[in-house]
Amino acid sequence: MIKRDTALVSGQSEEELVKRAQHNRGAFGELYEIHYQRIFNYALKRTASVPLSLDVTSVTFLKAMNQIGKYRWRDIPFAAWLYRIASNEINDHYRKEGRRGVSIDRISELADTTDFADEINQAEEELSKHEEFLLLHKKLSELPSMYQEVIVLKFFEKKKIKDIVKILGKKEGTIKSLLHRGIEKLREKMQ
Amino acid sequence: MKKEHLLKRLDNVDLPELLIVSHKAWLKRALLEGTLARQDIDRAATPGRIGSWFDGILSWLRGPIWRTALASSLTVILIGAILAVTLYFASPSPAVVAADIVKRDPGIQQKLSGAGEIIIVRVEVRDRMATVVCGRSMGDFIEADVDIPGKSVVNTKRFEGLFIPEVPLDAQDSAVKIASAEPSVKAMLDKGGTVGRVFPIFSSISSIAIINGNILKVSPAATQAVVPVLFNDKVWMVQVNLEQKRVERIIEPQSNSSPHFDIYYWLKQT
Repeated sequence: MIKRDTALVSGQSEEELVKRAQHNRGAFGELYEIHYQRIFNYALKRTASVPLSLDVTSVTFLKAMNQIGKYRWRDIPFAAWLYRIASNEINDHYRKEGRRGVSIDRISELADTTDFADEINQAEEELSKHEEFLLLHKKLSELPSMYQEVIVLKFFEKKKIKDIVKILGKKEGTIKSLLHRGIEKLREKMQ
Repeated sequence: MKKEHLLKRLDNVDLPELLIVSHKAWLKRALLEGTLARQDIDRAATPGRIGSWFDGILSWLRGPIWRTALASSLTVILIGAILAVTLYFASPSPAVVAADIVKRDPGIQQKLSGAGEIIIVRVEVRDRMATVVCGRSMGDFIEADVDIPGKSVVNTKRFEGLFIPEVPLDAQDSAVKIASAEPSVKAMLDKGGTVGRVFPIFSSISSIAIINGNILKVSPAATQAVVPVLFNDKVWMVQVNLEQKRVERIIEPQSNSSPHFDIYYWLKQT
């Protein structure tokens, strides 16, 4: 089970860890351990695709490592920052119909192929068992990305409105409005 | 579906929670050891920009041979189309070329007496030859046969520049009667003045066109006529309104001017 508590890591606050990670790659590794699974599963809930979620996760952490020097804790919590990068990557993917910065083919080449392929197959098999989720996702994917992301964050990621505000960098009223309209549109699709 | 029911489904749906251990381990190692190529990181930092767009094309082209062949064919067609359009718009039409040859021809410039720019009245292109009718603002016209590929004038025909259409005889009689009734005109006629050839007045000189170098085509139909009165070797122009049967005005002769000039000058002023 992946540790989800980000308040204290190795006896220090996550804020201190982030500051260290800005100059120390090993510290970034600790942040990676904390957040990898949540980002991967967020991507999975947005895309319902194991390969695409791996791709989004890889790019998210590559970008995070590359840009962590510019990150400021006071603006947005680190986890919310990662969610925002991932969200942008997913939206970008849907806009560009699958053209990615780092493709899954490239990562597959680099990864240890046999275990990796087996694990992907198992994960896809596991995913296919979640029929209700896949049905909801199918309808959800017919909505514009701005509705998809608020609904996924609210209902699938169980985020509070104030957390979604930080992740998406939008006003609370905007988030509530998007949520309301998104649910209405989803309800229409479910008819 | 009711909204409450949908909210309940969204809240209670059994969500996937997966972990790909080998990917997690590989990505961490790649990140910390920097084994991912630098360009991958750069590309990841600028998703969707020109670089990844271009890479997308290159990646697509690296596929089956038919993709490369298709892309090559489309490129050739595109280049050909661009060249054709460029040449089409860059090259003047044969009519423009013929007109330009005539305008620049020293023989034409010499034959067209008078000053001013050479005006192209009409151009007809047939195969590699063109017939160009040109003139100046006053004077005669020249019909020139032009060899377009040879860029030369091969034949010219000169004709008078001002053709005055005939006014129907009954209209001529009517115009002369109206003009003669004018006291000043009557006085000239009584003292030996003579009436010249009656010609029509049109609303604009631009309504006159040359057809086959022989006729003036005029539109719309003239409703006025000019009765020239020759007296003491000078010409007075009596402008008559044929519909309202009255003299509109009398144009005094200019000193040392020929009747031909007066007629043309008058037309230009109308």
